[in-house]
Amino acid sequence: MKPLTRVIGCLIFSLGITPAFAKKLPADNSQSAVAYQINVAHTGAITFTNAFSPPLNEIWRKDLGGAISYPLIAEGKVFVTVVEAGGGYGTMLYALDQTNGTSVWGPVVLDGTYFWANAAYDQGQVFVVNFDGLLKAFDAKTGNVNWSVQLPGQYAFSSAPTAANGTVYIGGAGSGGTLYAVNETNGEVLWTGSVANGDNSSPALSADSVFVSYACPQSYKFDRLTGNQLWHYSGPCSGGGGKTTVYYNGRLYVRDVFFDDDYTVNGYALDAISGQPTGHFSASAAPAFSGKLGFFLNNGTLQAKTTDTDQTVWSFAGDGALSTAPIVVNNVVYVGSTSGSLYALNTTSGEQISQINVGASIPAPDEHNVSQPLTGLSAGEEMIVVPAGNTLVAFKAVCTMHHHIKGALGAKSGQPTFDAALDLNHDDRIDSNDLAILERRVPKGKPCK
Amino acid sequence: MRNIKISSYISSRINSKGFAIVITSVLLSINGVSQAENVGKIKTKDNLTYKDGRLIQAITPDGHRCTFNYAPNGDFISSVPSSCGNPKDRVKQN
Repeated sequence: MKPLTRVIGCLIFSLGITPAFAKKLPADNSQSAVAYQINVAHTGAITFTNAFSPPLNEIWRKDLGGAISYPLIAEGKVFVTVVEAGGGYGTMLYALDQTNGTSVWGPVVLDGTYFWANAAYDQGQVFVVNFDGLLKAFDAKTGNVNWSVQLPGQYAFSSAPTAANGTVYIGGAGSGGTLYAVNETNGEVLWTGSVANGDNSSPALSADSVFVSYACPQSYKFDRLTGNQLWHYSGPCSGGGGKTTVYYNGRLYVRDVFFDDDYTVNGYALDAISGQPTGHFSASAAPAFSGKLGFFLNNGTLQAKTTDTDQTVWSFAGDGALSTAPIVVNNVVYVGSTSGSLYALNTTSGEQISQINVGASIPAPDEHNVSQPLTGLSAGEEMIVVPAGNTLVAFKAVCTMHHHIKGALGAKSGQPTFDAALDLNHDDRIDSNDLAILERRVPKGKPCK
Repeated sequence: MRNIKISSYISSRINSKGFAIVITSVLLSINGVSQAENVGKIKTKDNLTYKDGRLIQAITPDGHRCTFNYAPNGDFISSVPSSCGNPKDRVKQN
């Protein structure tokens, strides 16, 4: 290497400048909620690095004036789409501060027909598609629109987007259906795939494949990179509508209205390699998976089943009005009810660990209409966020807060930099009084781990 | 309640004869968003989508959806919800 080149090279790296030719590494989204049911496979499960278990502490709530989507949780913010108050078509995109629920930017009006738009996050951008197929990329930090593209060829969009590794995947319907892969950098359509129709099926991703499923079911697997169709499972009919699939441990869990004459089965577990059914299930919302267990909400009852033998391990009916797709956070399963309860259950035993009344109905995900955005519980960056009625409610685990406050008090010098939400006694300081409050809230015999 | 505000922008520039041209524009904004960018018009008819020439869904103006399922030979099987009836009636109604 010539001396001048060597000097420039040293300057680049000593100043922390990333050369333009350096390949961008995939973002680590493992602690964030980036799509419907938390992750791009839609498993509904997340494991935080720090301890996180009930009891939960409400840190803020915010009335947004309309029905609220599933929250994305990334970069210290909570992103939701919300039906605009006043009855006109369209939705709003909010970016809220995780610590106190105040607006960081927006709300941004999302044009479009009906009351539907949903979002996904990846690599510093929030991608939102409305019913008319207008896809926009927002800078997650500032809310600036980086690009906007009208997806071609279809006119009815109701599938929440999924984004990963530089590509956004979206389904569209109108005349037949289309699966789109769009470049996250500039909005260029990279490839399209023809499907039975594109409704209500948020694309689920494995490492190299993308899955969607529609009525009857008509289920598909495409190569994420090339768009080549890898298989198509064709059920006994075809028609409108679809449901979000879940990819877990080599299986694709697809749902529709009932597949059998007895009206007891509405889901197939398809082998992700061959596309052939390996089992069946019933679930009114996307099932969640963690370890060797799957969690299925059916007729208002949550059931835990082994994924390998399909044995029912436990059932939980709660208040008889369970409604949400379940999520699993650090081996605790959470489910909401239309009567406003948020339940936390032990994944292996089904034992109820806590029940919180959030003050408003926690709605079921609507995977059929476009009268509101797709909604659901979410968890990311050490918090759980619950859309309840028109209100968004955020929780942190007392144990996690305990951990942070102890860390803050143990800091050698200066004021702790932890978020204001940890200031439980509201004196603008995080101090030993806050720690004392938390210690009172931790039930005896269940110390923070 | 919506927050409606009117903003005025006045700018001037010098033309080729040395006279100043004053340009005034008024922007009406609602909740910080210009009216031109506001949401779409409310539909009065169903939004219909098709597959292979067959109606597979109808979305009512308030965002509720009817879907229609067909056998491989094209015969109509069922609608979801069942109250949506026959797709032919739905098309006529529209």
